[in-house]
Amino acid sequence: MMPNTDILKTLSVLYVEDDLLLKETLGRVLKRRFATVYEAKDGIEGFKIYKAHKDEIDIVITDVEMTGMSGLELIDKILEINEFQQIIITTGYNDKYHMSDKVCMNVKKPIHVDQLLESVLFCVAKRGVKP
Amino acid sequence: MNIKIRRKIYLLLIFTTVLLIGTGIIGFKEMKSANDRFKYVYSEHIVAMADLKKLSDLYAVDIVDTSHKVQAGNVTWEDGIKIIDETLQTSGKTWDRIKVRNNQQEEIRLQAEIENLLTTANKATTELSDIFSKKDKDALRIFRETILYIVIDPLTQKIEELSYLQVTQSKEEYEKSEALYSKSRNILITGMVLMLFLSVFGVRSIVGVIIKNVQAIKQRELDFQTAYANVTEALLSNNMDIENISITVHKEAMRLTNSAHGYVAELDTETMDLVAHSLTEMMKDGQCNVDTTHKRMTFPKGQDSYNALWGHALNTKNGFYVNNPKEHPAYKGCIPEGHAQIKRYLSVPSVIGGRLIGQIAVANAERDYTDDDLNVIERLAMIYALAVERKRIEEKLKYFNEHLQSMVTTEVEKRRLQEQLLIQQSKMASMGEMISLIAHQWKQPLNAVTLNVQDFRDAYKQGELDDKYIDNIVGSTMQQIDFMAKTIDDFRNFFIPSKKKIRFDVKAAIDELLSMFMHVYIRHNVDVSLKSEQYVLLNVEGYPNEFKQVILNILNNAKEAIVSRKKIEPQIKGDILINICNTEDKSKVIVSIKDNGGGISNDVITKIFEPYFTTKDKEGTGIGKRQVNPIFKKISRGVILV
Repeated sequence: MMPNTDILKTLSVLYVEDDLLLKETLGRVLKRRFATVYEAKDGIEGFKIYKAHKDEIDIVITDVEMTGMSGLELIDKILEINEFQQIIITTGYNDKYHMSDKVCMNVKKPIHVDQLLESVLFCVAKRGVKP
Repeated sequence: MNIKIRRKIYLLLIFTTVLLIGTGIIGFKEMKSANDRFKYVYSEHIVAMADLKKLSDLYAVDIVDTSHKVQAGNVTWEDGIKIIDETLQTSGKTWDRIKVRNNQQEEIRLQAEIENLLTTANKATTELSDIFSKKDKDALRIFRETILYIVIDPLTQKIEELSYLQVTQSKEEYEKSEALYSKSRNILITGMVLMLFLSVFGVRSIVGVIIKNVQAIKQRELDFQTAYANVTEALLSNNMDIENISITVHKEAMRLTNSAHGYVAELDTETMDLVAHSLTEMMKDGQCNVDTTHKRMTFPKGQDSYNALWGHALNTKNGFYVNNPKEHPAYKGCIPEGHAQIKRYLSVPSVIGGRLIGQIAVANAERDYTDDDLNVIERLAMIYALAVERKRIEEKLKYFNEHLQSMVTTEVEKRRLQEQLLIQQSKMASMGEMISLIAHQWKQPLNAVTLNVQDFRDAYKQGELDDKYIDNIVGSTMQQIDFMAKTIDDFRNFFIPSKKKIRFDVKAAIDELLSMFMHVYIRHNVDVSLKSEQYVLLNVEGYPNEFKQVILNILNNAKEAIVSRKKIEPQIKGDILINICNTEDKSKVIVSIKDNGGGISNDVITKIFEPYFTTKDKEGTGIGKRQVNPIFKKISRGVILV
C-alpha cells in the first residue's frame, strides 16, 4: 500500500547522512515526495541547518554513526531547542548504541523507502496529536 | 628372675653376717676367758707365789739373819726384838692373804701342814724374842744351833712345796688355756672356712644366676634380632608379598613368645576390616603350625569399633596381654564351635602415625605372657607396620608405573584437545571478528544498492528514466557490488598462506590490512596511524599474508592492552603508531609498532612468546603470539624485537 503522498508534499525534511552516496540517492528519493529536503553530511552541518529552519522543518531523519557530531549528539541538541521535534533515526546497527528512546522511530538500514515514509507519516500524525 | 637373684644375695649376706657375728662372739668370749684365766693365774698363783716367797724369806732370811746379826752384835737386842715383832706381824698378814687364795684340796692340805709348822715356827720365834729380851747370847747360840733350823727349815720346805703347787697349778691353767685356745681356734677356722665356702659358693651361684639372666636376655635379644633379620629380609625382598611377610612375622611372633596359636592381619584400607593373612589352624587339632596356604580370613569391623578380645587392641591402639582372658572386659566368649579355647592372649596393633595398619595376635603360650613378650611383639608389630606400609607404597608405585604410560597418553591427549579447543576458540573468535568486519564493510554498499533499486522504480514511475540515469544507477550499483565482492576476497585471501616468497610493499600491505580492519580500531576508539619517512625503501621479499597476520596479531594485542587500560583510565585516547624505516645500510625494513596500552612489564617480556602465555586472564588464549613465531620462522629473515 502506498503511503499518502499528499501529506508528505506539505512537509519539510532535514536529512543527515555522512555516507555521501546514500545521502545522494535517498535525498533524490525524498525530494520527489517532500515539499523541501535539507541535506546535511554530518551532525554539525545538520544542526546549523536545523537552527536556520527550525520553524519550517517538520521531521528530522538522521544517521547515528557520523564523524564530527554523531546523530545522538545532534538529537540532544535539537531536542534542547524543540522538545517536540519529531526525529527518525536510520541506523545500520541493531543495538542500543545506535538507537534512541528519545526519538519517534528507529528505522533499520538497509532502508526500505516505503517503511521510512510510513514512519514519517506516523511521526507527523503523532505530532498532530500533541498540543 | 631378678627377685630370685635379690633373694639369693640377701640370703648370702644374712648367712655370712650371722657367721661373722657368731665367730666374733666366740672369739671375744675366748679372749675374755683367756684374759680371765690370765688374771686368775696372776692373782691366784703369781701373787701367791710372791707372798709365799715373802713368807719363806721372813723366816729363812729375816728371823735367821736377825738372830745371826744380834749374835754377832751387828744389831742390838732391842732392834732384834723389833724386827722379830714386825716379822711376825708381816708373816701373820701375808699368811692370811695366802690362806684366802687357797681353795684346792692339795692347797688346803699343804696349808694345814704349813699352819702347823708356822705355829711351831712362831712359837720358836717368840722364844727367840724372849732370848733377845733376856739378851742371852748363849741361849741364842743354842737356840740357833738347835731349834731355829729345825723349826724353820720344814716351814720353808713346805712353803716351797706350796709354791711349787702354784707353779703346777699355773701350768695346769696354762694347759687348760692351751686346750681352750686350740678348741676355739678350730671353731674360728671352721667358721671362717665355712664363711669362705659359703661366700664363694653363694657368689658363684648368684653370679651364675646373673650370667644366666644376662644370657637369657641376650638370647632373647638374639632371637629378636634373628626374627628382625628374617622379617627385614622378607620386607626387603622383592618377591615377598604382604601375605608372605605376614607369615614370616607370624612365625617369629609365635617362636619368640612360645605361643601355640596366633594370626597376623592387615586392615583393609577401604573397609577397615581385619584381614588375617596368616593364622594357625585353630579349628582342628593343629597346633603351632602357621598356615601358609594364603587363606584370607576376614574379621569384619563393627559399626563403630572392633569386636571382642581380638578387636580390643585395635580399638585402643595399644598392645595388651591377658593370662586369664575370661576376666577381660572385652572377652565375649562367643568363640565359634570347635575353636581352640583361648587360655592366654597377647595382641598388638600395628600403627604408623596413628593410622592402624594391622595386628599381631598370639595365644596359648605354655607359660604366662609377660611384659617382655609384649615388648617383643610391639617391636615386631612396628616392623610389620613398616613392611606393610612399604609394600602398599610399592604396590601403589607399581600401579602408577604401569599406568603411567596410559596416564601420560591420556594427559597428552587431553592437552592436545585443550590446545585444539583453544585454537578453535581463537579461530572462532577471529572468524566472528572477520564476519563482523565483513558485515560492516558490506553495510554501506548494501544500503546504497538497496536504495539504488528502490530509486530505480521511483525514477521509472516519475518518468525520469533515461539512458544516462540507468547507466548511472547500474554503474553505481555494480561499483558497490564489486566492492562487496572484493571485501569477501580480501578476507578470504588474508587467511590463505602465501604460496611463495614475493617482493611486496610493506607499507601497502599494512595499508591493506588497516583498510580491512580499521573498523575494529574505530569501534574501540583506538587511533591507528601509519607513517614512513621519505625515501624509505619499502619493498621486501617474503610472504605478504603471513606478514599481515603478524602485524595484525601485534596490533590486536596493542588494541586489547589499550582497551583494558581504558577500563581503569577511561579518558585515555588509544593510539597505535606504526612507523616504517630502514636500517642504516638500507638493507632491511623496520616496522615498529608503538601503543599507549601500558607497555610490557619485565617479568612478562621473556615469556611473551611461550605458548599459551597470556596476561589476559579470561579473554586471552595465548595463541596469537605463538602464531607469530612460526610465521616469522617461515619468513626466515624476519625478526621480532620486543
